[in-house]
Amino acid sequence: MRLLCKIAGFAGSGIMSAGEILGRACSRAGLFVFASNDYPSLIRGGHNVFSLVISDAPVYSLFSKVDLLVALNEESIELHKKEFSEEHFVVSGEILDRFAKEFGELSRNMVAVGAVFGLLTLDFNVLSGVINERFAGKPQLDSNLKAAKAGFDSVKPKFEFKAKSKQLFLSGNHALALGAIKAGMKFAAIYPITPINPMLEYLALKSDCGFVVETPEDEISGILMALGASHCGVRSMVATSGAGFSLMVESLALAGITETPIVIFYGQRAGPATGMPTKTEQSDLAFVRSAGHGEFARIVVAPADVEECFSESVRAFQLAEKFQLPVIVLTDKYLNESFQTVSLKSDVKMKRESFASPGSDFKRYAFTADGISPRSVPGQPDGMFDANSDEHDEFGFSCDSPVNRAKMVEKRFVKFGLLKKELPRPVLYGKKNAKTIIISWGSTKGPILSALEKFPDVCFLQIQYLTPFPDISEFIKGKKVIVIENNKTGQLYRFVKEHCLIEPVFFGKFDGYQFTADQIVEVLDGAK
Amino acid sequence: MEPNDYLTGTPTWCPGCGNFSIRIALSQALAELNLPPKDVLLVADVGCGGNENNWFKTYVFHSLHGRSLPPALGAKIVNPKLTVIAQAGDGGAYGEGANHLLHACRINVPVVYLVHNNQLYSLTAGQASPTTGVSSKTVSTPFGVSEVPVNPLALAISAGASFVARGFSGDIAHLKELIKSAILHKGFALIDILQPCVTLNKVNTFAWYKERIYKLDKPLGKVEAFELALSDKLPIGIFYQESRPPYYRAPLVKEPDIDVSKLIAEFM
Repeated sequence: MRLLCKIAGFAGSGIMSAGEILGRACSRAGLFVFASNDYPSLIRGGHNVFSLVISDAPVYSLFSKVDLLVALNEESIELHKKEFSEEHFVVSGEILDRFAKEFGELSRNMVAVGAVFGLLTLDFNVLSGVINERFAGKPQLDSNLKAAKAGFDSVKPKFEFKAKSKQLFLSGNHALALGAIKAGMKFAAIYPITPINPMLEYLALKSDCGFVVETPEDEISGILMALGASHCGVRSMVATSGAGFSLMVESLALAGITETPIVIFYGQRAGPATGMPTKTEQSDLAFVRSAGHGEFARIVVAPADVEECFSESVRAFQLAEKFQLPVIVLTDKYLNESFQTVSLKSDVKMKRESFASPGSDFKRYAFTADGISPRSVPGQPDGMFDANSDEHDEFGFSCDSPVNRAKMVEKRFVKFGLLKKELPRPVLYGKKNAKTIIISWGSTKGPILSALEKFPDVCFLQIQYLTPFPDISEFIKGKKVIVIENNKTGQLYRFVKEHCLIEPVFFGKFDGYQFTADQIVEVLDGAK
Repeated sequence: MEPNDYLTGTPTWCPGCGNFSIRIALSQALAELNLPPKDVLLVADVGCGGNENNWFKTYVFHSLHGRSLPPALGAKIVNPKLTVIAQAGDGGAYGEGANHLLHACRINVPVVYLVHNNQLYSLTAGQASPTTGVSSKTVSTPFGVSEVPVNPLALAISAGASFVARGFSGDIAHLKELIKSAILHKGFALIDILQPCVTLNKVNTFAWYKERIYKLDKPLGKVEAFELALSDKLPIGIFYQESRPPYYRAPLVKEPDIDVSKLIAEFM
């Protein structure tokens, strides 16, 4: 059993919290949920939707047809009726009005959540547990519980699932933040911006665990504060979107030449400029791959789902510290604000890279075989050095000799040799001998995996680490190659074409929404 | 400690440049306070003064133009044991990075900010800076500057800075004492240092300053200090100092890692 439930209404009517509560309760009841939100850049008014795919098997994406609509206002029925599946069900009108009158208008969303839980034939105690935790100590707890119960009792069970064991339910933003905490991150400087605000807010809430979260005056200050902290030996991060990253670019180059570790979480959204700030897009890959003046080494990694947000966030800090370079964790609004039923794992062996034991004449930027030089931090005796934004010699002193210059540039790129061996390889889904291969990156993975169930002769290659770019020739040999991305110009497509000297087929989408599984099916049907 | 314990190399500034004096005053202040060089972090800007990054034997972070304050704040927040000195010229501090100054005044992280103010962009050979006087003719303003110059001290006082002072590169002993007071101050400290550009500034020369400068006896009240900062007078010394809780975190370089499994379980 699998259904798509949409909770819709005007902004400010508690749609996000209703969706999160429903998703968590379903996950706790042993079901699988994939959920995503859609909203305009407004606080009140405008149309908001929280979509949940609820299933008794793992789910990775949204679908186009709505089976269960919770319409918190009449307009929502009009807006969504064209999406109805044949056997759809609508929760709206009289039930919601009656109980909203009884328990207060603010409880309307909880009546709806209760009704959906009843329709799904689930145990009310699970839902009441989630509501209890969510509103613990708040005045609306009691009315919300009563409203949910009233909604639950007002419907007859309609959909039945085979429940498994309870699991975690969280968003990409939460998973990225938890990964950072697991990695021992101690300093975050984050200027608010969609879609990473929930990450900022979660980290700020948990900062009493023993790390600092600063809200700087701008993103330039943010990344530079983080670099100052990193210079002192603590694992540091920033989080932003395209507008903020654009401001950080000069400092990215500074991290490059001073070889100061930093992790940059970058949630893309529909640009250019302000663009559509609450809509999604994968249009900044080419930008981050080459951002910054001059040439320097960096890592670009694109987690593709909530579990990868966690595992690659942990790895990003380990890589940044070991290789002394910036790591950009590239996600998008769709992934940052999507929730999934998951289990979180990390195969990264957490290890602080030991700092050097400097003696006299300590060379912070010593030429080494693997390009990684010993690093000291302020406070260490004899480790004094200049983290110099000018080109420098092995001690860090400014130096513009051509011989030294060429050796230093080489040194900073030699790291890529070791790095390529250490990075996870691209992952192939489906049959190795399939005739057609889809290549993609980031959050298109979910809809592609969902669609592949219908195409046994198509396999899918997910490229997670995009800089340095992996060798993918073994995967694509003799196959028809299709690149699917959530952008106009085919930013991975262009790179695959140039890198592999082949002519792939490209399908892009750039309307502010990620592909649904059905849309990928259409693409593949058309590409036959 | 001796002043030479903090210094290395041979600066390449023009003969007679005020940067020599500022470097000496800073090294003397650090030595008199007996601060081990390993516990001093100097954050340098880009410009003539910024080249000092090569001539100090402490930890150094050489930042971008206008951006010495943010790394200094980040470093001090995670390791409060460090003595953190950020330096910049008038272009970096009051032009490109003025926004950082405004917010450093608010947040009150104990960082000393030494601004080498010679009223010109000198490393790029003499263009008008945010502190160049009205109607001054420079290579970038051949018909004279039309903008009102930034008033650093009035700006800092109004933004909530807890230590605001003016020094003069021509009086090393006085400047050294100012820097010592700034280091000992528990909060953000701005010292705007008047410094003649001996090569490019033919107006604000050493003699010009000598005629106008006098010493303040003691810090003033906030309003009085603000009024004096806005006046045409050129006193040096501490204009304003207040006791306000500094930004403080336990030194994060020592904090143990966190058990994330408890946090993860909250999402079950």
